[in-house]
Order: sequence, then C-alpha cells, then structure tokens
Amino acid sequence: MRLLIILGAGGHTRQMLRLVELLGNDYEYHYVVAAYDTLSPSKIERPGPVYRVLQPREKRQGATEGAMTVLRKLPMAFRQAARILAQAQPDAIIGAGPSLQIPFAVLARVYRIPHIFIESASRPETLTLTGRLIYHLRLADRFYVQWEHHLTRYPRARYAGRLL
Amino acid sequence: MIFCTVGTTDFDPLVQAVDALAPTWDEVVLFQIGQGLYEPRNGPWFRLRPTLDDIFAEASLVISHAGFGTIIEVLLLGKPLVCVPNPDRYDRHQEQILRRFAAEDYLIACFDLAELPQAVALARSKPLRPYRPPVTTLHEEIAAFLREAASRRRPR
Repeated sequence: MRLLIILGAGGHTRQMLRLVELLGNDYEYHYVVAAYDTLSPSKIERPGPVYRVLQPREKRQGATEGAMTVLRKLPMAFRQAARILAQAQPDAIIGAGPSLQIPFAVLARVYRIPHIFIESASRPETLTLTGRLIYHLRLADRFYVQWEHHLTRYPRARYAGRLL
Repeated sequence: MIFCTVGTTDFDPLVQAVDALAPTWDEVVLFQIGQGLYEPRNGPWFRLRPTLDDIFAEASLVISHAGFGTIIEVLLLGKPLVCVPNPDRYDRHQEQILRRFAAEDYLIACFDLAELPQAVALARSKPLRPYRPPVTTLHEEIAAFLREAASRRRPR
C-alpha cells in the first residue's frame, strides 16, 4: 500500500516522521515537502520519492492577508498537487496539517483517495486555519486532534494520543 | 557553547537581545539567524544548515524561537531550553505550545526579552523535566483504517 505523506515543514514534518516510524515497514512511503524547507528531506529515515511544492501561504502573514495570498496562489497549488497525485498514485494521503495539504484534501475527494488529516500538536488552544477549513468542509475521511479537549468543540474529530 | 536559533524565518529581536547579553556569559554563543537582517557581533553565526542536531548535541544551553519542531528536537536531546515566542508568526500560535510545555516544566518560557537574563539563569539552575514522546495509539487506528480502505477497494 502506497502512502503519500504530507510533511510540510518544521514541526509538521517532525510529527509525520514520528507517525511513519510508528507505522513501520508495511507501507511504501512517498513524501511532499514545502520547497522552502531544505531541512525536512534530510530527516526522512524511511526513504521514498520526495515531491517539493511551493507553500500556498507565507507563514508571516495574518489570517486575512493569508487568505488573499491563498486565493491568488490557489490555481498553482492545485496544479502542483494534481501533478504529484498523478505521479505518486497513492492509496491514501496523510498529513499533519500544513496549509499545503488543502489542495491535496480537495483532490482526494475528487479522486476518491482516502485522506487522513492530523491537526498539529503545536496547537493546544485553537485549531489551525487549515484544520478548521478541512473540518468544516469535511475534506478528510478521518480528522484527528492531538489534544483531547478539542473534541468538545469538534465532535466529529477523533483523538488517539499525541505524536510528539 | 550556548546556541541561539530562530528557525527558517527571522527573529531579529531575539538575535539582538542574545548578542547584547553574550559578553556577560562565560561561554561562546553561536547564532543561527535564518533570514534575519541583524548580524551578531559577539559570536559566530550562520543562516541555515541542513541539520542542527550536531550543534544541539554540543550546546550546554539552547535559546530558541518557540517553533514546535525546534522545541521537540532540543527536548529529545535533553538540553536546557529557553524559548521565546516569535510575535511575527501568524496568529501568534507559538505561544500556545510554549505555555503548555512551560507549565509542565519541560522548558523555560520567556515572553518578554527584557527578562531573558533571568530566564537563562533559571534554565541553568532549575532541573527541567525530561521529555519523552507521548504514548499514542494513532498509528494503530490509522493502520486499521488503511486495512479497511484497502478491503473496500479490492472487489473492484
């Protein structure tokens, strides 16, 4: 079974690599990283093809500016994601919530690829913008939070502990 | 060696504050400044490296931004850590995990750069709680979900 692992960058990457370590040898892994993150690929321990994508949102911006940038870069982000899905042909997509996971989530619905979204453990108080979008638009077959108290506000989410 | 690290973006106020304090400490301070404009005067510096693991391993103390990836990496190596949230990062989300981890004594949080000297002194004197990756069954749930997805697909 081939899994497309959305690493993103930084803390998202750390969490996903911990999951890959726990999932073990039973799967074939392909990885998606943010193009600006030169560090993430060097940390992969179970090797597989690495696809690089441009980040839909610059991290420094506020939510509103961020939304505008997302809209402007959306067509490009979708083209990149579609190209990667065509190349990788994954049986499932799993990611720990970077914004670049959004186009993959939408295309997963279109192509009927199982998609698991794991909200980053770095957010004990509020969910990420990406997380809220995926949750409310129901763009994941499984939506995990890594802090149990989020379940009261997001009852369709699941909790099974924290990766890190 | 004390290592000051800001991640892949920039955090000039932290670099500047640590640079000003560096002469008052009895150890060399090494800086990783990302895309910052301020270049430290009181210690060697670089922008980015493929991995910081070897530097973390050598450091006696790490002063960093509150990026989750950085925090985890330093804590897994068992190094004393002083963490300052970067207010430039969108919606100030770095403060969330910092409050949580500071409350559990894994690290020393510093929310005001004026209090950095005290925070560093505290990190050097106070025994911090060792961090272990939490116990999770997430991978087991996911493996079960994937098995089920595969069996649904097979008849096709």
